[in-house]
Amino acid sequence: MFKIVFPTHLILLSLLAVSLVNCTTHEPNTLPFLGRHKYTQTPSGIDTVYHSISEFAFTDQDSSKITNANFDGKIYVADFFFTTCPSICPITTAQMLRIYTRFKNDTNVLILSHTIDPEYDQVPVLKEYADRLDVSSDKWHFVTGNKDSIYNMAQNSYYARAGEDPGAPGGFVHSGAFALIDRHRHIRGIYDGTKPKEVDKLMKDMVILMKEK
Amino acid sequence: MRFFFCSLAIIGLVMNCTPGSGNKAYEKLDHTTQIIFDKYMIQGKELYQQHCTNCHQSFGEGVRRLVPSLVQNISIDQPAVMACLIKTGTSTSRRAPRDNNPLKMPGNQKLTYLEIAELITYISNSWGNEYGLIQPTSVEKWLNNCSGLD
Repeated sequence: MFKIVFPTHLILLSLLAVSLVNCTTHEPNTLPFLGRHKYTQTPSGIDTVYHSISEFAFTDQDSSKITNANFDGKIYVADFFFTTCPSICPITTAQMLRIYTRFKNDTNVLILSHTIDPEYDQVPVLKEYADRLDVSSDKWHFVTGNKDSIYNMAQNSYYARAGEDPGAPGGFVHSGAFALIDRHRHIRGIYDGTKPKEVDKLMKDMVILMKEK
Repeated sequence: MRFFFCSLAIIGLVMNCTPGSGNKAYEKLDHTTQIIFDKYMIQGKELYQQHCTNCHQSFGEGVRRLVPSLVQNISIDQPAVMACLIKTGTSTSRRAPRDNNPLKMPGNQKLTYLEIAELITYISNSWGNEYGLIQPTSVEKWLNNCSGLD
C-alpha cells in the first residue's frame, strides 16, 4: 500500500519557488522616457534632458483653442487620424473609445486626436464625428489646424508617421500609433492603436503613470 | 456513470458548435443546401474579416453612431439593400455626402456575385441574425436593380 506524503519542507520550497516566479514576472512600476535625451554639463554633474512635446496651438470640435496648457498636470493619449479614413481609423477610434470609457470619470486623463486632413476635417466635421461617438469635448479633443504644424507635431514631437499619399486608402498615410504623454510633456510609451492587446498594456501603463508625481 | 456524463457533455458541446445551430432557416435546409450554406459561412467570414471588420468590428457591433451595428440590424432583412451597399458603398464621393456622417462606407466593385452572396450569408446568419442562404443568382438580380433603392 502506497502512502502519499507531503513533507513540510517540500511544500515550503514550492511556495518559495512560486513567489520567486511571481517576483521575476512582476510588472514594472515605472515607465521609460522615450525619444532622444540631451545631456548637459552642470557644476553638480551631468543632467539628462528628456525629449518633450513642443508648443502647439490647435482648434477642437467646440472651436476652442487647445494648447499645451490644456494638458498641464494631466496625462494624455495622443493619436493622428482623419474622419473620412476608410482603413484603420475606425479600429483605432474604437480602441480609443475603450480608453475613454475606462477613464471617463478621471479628470487627470485626457485624449488628443489630431486630424491629418485639416482641409476637409474642419470644426463642424470634427463636431459631427465626436457627436456620433457620444464623447465629451472636455475629455477627448479632436483638433484641426495648420497642416504643416500638425505634420510637424506628428513627426518631431510624437514620432508618429503622418503624411499625404495619393496611393494610400483615403489619400493619407499614418501609423495608428497611440502615444502616452506624462504631466511634464514627456513620451512614456508608444502603442499600436489597432491592436486590443497593446491598448490593454497602454491602459495598465496609464495607471502606473498616474501614480507618478 | 462518469463516462456517461462526460460523453453527454461532449455531445452537447459538439452540438453547440455546429455552424448555424439555433438557426431556423438553416434547420429547413436539405443536405446539399446545408453543405453550400456551411461553405458560404466559412468563405463569408473570411471576406468579412478582409473587407468589413475594420469598421463594423469583429462581432458586427459597429462603433456607436459612427459605424452602424449589424447585430440584429433591421436592414439585415433586406439583403437586396445590403448587396447594393456592399457593391457601391454609401457614397461615391466624400465631397457630396448623402448624410452628414463624415465616414462613408466604401464600395467594393471588385467583389463577384458569389463573394457578395457568401458575405451576405455570413452577416445575415451571425450575431443573432437568422436569414438563411443567399444565392449568387439573387445577388445578380438585386444588383441590376440598385438604382431603384435610392
